[in-house]
Amino acid sequence: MKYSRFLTQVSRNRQPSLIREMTNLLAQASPELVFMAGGLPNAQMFPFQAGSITLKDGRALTIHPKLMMDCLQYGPTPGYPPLVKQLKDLTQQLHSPPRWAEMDLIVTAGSQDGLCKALEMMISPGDYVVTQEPCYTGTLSILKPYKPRYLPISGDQNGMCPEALKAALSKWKPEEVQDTEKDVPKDFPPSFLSMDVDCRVIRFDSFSKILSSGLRIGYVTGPKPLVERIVLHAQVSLLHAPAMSQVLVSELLKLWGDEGFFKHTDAVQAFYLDQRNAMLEAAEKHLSDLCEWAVPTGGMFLWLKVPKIHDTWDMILERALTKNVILVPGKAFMCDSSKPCQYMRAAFSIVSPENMDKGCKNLAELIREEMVLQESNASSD
Amino acid sequence: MDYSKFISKLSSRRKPSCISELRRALDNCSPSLVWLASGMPNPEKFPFREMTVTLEGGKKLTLSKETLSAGLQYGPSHGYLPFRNQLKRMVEQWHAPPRWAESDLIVTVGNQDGISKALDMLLDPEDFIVVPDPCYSDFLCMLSSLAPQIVAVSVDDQGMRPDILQSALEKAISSGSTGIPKALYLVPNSCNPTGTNMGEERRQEIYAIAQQYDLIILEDDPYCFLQFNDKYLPSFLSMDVDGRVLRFDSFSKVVSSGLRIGFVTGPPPLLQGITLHMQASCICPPMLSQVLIHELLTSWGDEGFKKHISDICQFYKEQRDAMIQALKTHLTGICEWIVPEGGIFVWLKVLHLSDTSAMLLERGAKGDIVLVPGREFMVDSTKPSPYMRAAYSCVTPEEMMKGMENLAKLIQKEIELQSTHT
Repeated sequence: MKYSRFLTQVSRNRQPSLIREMTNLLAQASPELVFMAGGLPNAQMFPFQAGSITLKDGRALTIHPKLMMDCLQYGPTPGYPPLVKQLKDLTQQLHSPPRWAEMDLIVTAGSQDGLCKALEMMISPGDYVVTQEPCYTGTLSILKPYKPRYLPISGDQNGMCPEALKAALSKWKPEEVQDTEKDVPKDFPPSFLSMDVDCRVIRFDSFSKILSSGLRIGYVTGPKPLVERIVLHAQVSLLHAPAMSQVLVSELLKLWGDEGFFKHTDAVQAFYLDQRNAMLEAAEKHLSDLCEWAVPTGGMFLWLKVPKIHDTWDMILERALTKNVILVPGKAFMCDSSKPCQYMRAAFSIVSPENMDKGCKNLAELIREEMVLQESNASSD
Repeated sequence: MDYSKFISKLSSRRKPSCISELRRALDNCSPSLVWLASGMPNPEKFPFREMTVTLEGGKKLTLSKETLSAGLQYGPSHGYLPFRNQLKRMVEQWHAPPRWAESDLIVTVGNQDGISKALDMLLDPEDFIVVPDPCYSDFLCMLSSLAPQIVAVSVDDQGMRPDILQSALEKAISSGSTGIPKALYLVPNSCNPTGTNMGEERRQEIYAIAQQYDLIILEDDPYCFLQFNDKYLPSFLSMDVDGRVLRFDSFSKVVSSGLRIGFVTGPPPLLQGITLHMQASCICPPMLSQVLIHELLTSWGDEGFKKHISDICQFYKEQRDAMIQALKTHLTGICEWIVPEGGIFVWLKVLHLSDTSAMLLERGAKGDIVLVPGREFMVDSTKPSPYMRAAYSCVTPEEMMKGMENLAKLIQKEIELQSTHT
């Protein structure tokens, strides 16, 4: 596949930093080589010498002095090599990408930074962007400055509707835009990466929901020419994902092995399932005559529609606080923020079942009062 | 000052996320508020429970449950609040910025990310940016992708020359371009690559010119704590009567480079542009890194911090002295250099070669010595450069001696090679 047509001029202009390239020389160098090229500070002068992390299962990760140096010193832009290897093994295991040999994987400071750099690599002001609607606000934040022409694709419980997607793209000739048609099995859907016969998928993975959000560790898998552009951007900006965070994740994965890792993800899944069930119970108890929703089959959000309210924005931002409940108005997830939106997003990740009940009760009162307000505004017009 | 003229078209379209707006509701809310807004994962499921680090000297720092929790969860885009407050106290103490009440400070993922995002915020392609020539190579890399108009200003042993700066700006303004000179970038202490320090008087001259042409000054100062003679030159921030300085600080040379923590001080309207971009990209600077440095600085107090700085200065001074010794032993008559008063670099000029690139990049490794060719730091990288940058931070005195011996041989061979070609 030819990738150059996807790149902005700024991305095409990127050149490797010579100093970082020279640092790669060290890997093949003879022990006699005196290396005075990189401006590395001397790690012996860093004040942290060693460390220890106790896990919730009681086991400990030891950061001995040599490992602590890896935590504290500049590292390679694509990521701490042991972690990169672990993540490549995991990706190959989970997705078996059909064109794995032509792909690369790098560690990013959270998956969103990978997404941001990927979009900045491709989007020029006014470009078309195909996205599902509603769309994650983080993505909209990245795109907003570029004033893109959105092609928002409506969806159902399974996400983007292929017919709607085809219709939106129909104004371009097929040879200008290649579409892929695949049947998606209904039980555990395979990733786009796993079906990527053309090498056109960039996949963004995150450890934020399962290991830690504050460590800022995610990873990007994609075609080498595109991942390389992201690496060049990282070389002149953050340099690399935080080293200690990478080392901790690597050591943890090493300690757990595959079995331990999947045992942990199972436990996370079970926990969020309980949270979801408690949320649904609270919603059914208080909101069944006021809201509509689809049961989420994963994740941490409930997407609520309020058919009798014209737009949830002011109701939430101006009046919800007085009712002691806050959630996110649906307009924040819409490509066109000038249109009214009847939706709201509730997160059930952190809130206790008691507070879910209280929150839904408060929300019901808020909605009822809003309906009265809407009525009186309508009659006074 | 009206900052809107400095903001690029793209940056002016950045908006705060709805969720961060909602978070402001948390400041004055009742304890009965049920928060269903942000998609924070539940920290119960994070597998880390306790963390202890051992410092040099053997002292142990144990992170409390709350502190470790803060280290593992998403945080504010402009930085972990206790850490930001700590840094603000330090900046006020060190620089006494004349407009401190109208300034703010944000934490960034290393100071270089702050600079990168500042450039994204300031520059439209037709705008001018002033840089010293030679200039820090990664900064030139940033510019090569954005492709703004570059005003290159030659340097002397104190950095940017005010007379050349003045005439270069005049030339830019009368060029008929639609863009405006927006910013001036410099590394005033132990400049990368030249190792020079800009004196106080020179700084005032440069500031006055920046006022005259209404430029934002990007003060990149990662080596401010690596000065060997106990004389701290006043920063541009400390003389910033207009509110036109963005100062970029780094912990990379002092505490850790790998933790990726720096900070930016300056006018809130300019910091806002950087913060909004942070919100969309990294979301927040690495929390654990911030928590660790905060705990470290708290445990040290002012005294401990001063002692640490004194220790590292002593170390790098000895490294510099060993380097100068090695240079004198093997390169007298072959190279020229200025003795650096701080930092980690020596800028060498080879007396009888017009360019060092091929020698270093093609033959250096075989000659067992690698330095960075000077061309890498020149605004016009097509012109030959007889300079080289040597870093003395991580090599032992024995390695320096061997390295300079190897370098002398390499240069000798190169001179012979050149004469056989001519």
